[in-house]
Amino acid sequence: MNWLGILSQLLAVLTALLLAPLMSGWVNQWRAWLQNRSGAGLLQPYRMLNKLFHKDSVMAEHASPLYRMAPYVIFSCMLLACAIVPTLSTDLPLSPAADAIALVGLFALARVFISLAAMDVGTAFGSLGARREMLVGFLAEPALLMVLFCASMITRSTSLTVMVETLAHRELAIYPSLLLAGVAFTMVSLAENARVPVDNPDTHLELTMIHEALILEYSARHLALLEWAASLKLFAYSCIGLALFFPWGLAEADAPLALLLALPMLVFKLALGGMALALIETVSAKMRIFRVPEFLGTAFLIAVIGLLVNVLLGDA
Amino acid sequence: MEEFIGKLWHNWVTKAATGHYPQAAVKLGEVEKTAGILFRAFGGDPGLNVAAATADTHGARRRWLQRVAGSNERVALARRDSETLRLPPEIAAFPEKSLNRDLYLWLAALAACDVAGDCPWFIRNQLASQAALARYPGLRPRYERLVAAHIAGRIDPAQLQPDEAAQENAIRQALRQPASVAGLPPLNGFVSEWLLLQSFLFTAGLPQGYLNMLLPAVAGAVALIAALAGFAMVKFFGVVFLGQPRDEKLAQAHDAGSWERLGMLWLVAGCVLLGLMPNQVIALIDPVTQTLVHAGLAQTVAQNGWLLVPVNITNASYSPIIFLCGVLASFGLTFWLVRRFYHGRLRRVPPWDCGHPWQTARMQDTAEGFGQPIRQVFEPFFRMKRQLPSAFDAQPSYRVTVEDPLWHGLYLNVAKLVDRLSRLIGLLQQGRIAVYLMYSFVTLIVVLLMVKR
Repeated sequence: MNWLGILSQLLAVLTALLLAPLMSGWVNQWRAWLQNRSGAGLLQPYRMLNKLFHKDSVMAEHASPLYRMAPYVIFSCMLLACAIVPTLSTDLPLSPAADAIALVGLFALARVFISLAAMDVGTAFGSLGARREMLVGFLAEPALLMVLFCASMITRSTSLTVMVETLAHRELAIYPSLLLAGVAFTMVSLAENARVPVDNPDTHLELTMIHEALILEYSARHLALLEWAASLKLFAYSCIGLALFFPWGLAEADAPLALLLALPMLVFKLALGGMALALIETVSAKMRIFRVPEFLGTAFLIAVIGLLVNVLLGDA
Repeated sequence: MEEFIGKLWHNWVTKAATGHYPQAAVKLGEVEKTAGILFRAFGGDPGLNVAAATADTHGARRRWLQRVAGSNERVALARRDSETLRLPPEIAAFPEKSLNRDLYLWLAALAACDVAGDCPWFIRNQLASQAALARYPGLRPRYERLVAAHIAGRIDPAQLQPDEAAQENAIRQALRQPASVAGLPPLNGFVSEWLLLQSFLFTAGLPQGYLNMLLPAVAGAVALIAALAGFAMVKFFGVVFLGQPRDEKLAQAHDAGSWERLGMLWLVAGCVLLGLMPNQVIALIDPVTQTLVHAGLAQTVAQNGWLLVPVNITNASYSPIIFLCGVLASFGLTFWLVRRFYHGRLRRVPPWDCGHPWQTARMQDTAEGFGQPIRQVFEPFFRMKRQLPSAFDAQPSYRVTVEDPLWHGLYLNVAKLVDRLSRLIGLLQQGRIAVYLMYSFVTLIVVLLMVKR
């Protein structure tokens, strides 16, 4: 661990904190443009966060300390996830502490806390949201693990930085297993980030909502932290996708110049990813809640087939 | 006329009060032989006869209908003395015949494992159950089915007086076995899950090709099971400990005493310590793995300090301590920054009614409701019977029975076969001395003929 490593780690965390709301704003703006609306602007998520942080928090009378603690835990989990995913550099001192499996565990930890917090107040909507979130999670989590395993089998490592370095240095070729893993990852990302067709972050319709039902009771700074955590999760997922399937442009150890160039490269790739996400959301319809297991089951099977293809064909 | 009405009343009230299921009754005569064989096979005294127990006054509290009908004052309890194992002449406690039959067999097994004859009955039965389950783990599924069916028919502790509720809870606790899941980082369960998944990834190159092909499927199944365990954990913790009490009387419930909670703290501390210090635990259990499989991780993991490295640091590494410190540091920093730059003002209000002002605690999910989506997903794998209420029911009731199809398709058939065989063997065990002598004579003749050839 040297000073450049510590600097790249700090830069990765700061970049995530600052760019995550911008990315959410970018996706929302593109959705508005694709639907012939003018949109609220790229900076709307920052304005929203600032407003929420200034408000007085309103909390249910019998909410327990777990309820108050949960937004901070969830935000911390997402921040740690962004710290271990290679966004700008593969020289991350925190990386050996948590590999790809621990990253999935981190997302699971946040999911468990948000579900428990939703059940804590004891309203019908809270438990409805918790039930649905865990339904999505129990299929999305193994599918994500299988996607990461596809890359791990090729790189012979579960360390995210080693995986990205190995994939970036290989010849440019289409790996059938990675192709299948890419499809599965896209499906899992849509579900995990509460996007259309699995969930619609813009509505509060009780028949369909998942994420909004979980955070229905939260307000002010707690809600701000949860919204920021949701943006960080989208950012982390986007960066995982970019690192596994488009691993070029990331700085390596002892390369300060490359670290400077990595930031515009990341912004460019995220901008393209955000546009693609807005396009998928615009052309898709929200599916019924009981179609979600089929959707995620398909993602899980595609990822397992990817893994099987890798076993059968070797690293080809 | 009076006599006729009295008879009708007597028939009706007795039937309503018994709470039994005569259509599913099992007589001792039907299972006497099997129970006897089971009792002896489980180490019970071979000289004991199996006979019907007589009904005695039990002194326990009866339901009001039973008191009106004057029934259930006496009950035939299973017991054992120096010469006889006495079982109830008939069991009709459950709506399914198989459960009533299983109860006979369980009573026989319990009598064979009576390890604490001098203790009070409550402790004595628990120790006997524990011993029976430890000696014969195959009995566990039967036992668990019986417990589930029995608890379903018991009075809800929420409807009892506090002292009776405490007794009822103690009985339920004694019947059930506690279980816990800790598969989240940085707790202990996650380390084992992490190591298991690592073993799947780095086991490529097995001698048989088809074994290699199985690895992704098995890794996927393990990941799916781990995620389902997380679902079950949220359901268990959320429904039991969070939300609002669903019954008015539960408002008077209070937490366990500090000493009782302190006892649980030891378990929690063990769980956290095992999760945070996997290297030390692996080093401690290494002699066992060395003895069993002639290999171990202790030497590899000892080289990397606080990092858990099963193969090589470039392959995989995990440090629960750094993981926990990362979450705690970012928690503390976020909390401090929010308070430093904004504020910590808070108002307590009733929960948001979301446009529905008549919300009650009964509208929360029950464990049944929480698990409903999962049951729907896995419906093809269950044998499920649902009884749904209609909108016109005066007293709507919901009932769902979930069973394992393998149980009916395979195990029950095997059990029937074993039962039939035991009946045949039972035939050999009864009879007069002349019949036994005839068996010996025939065996001798057959052996002689075989030897002669």
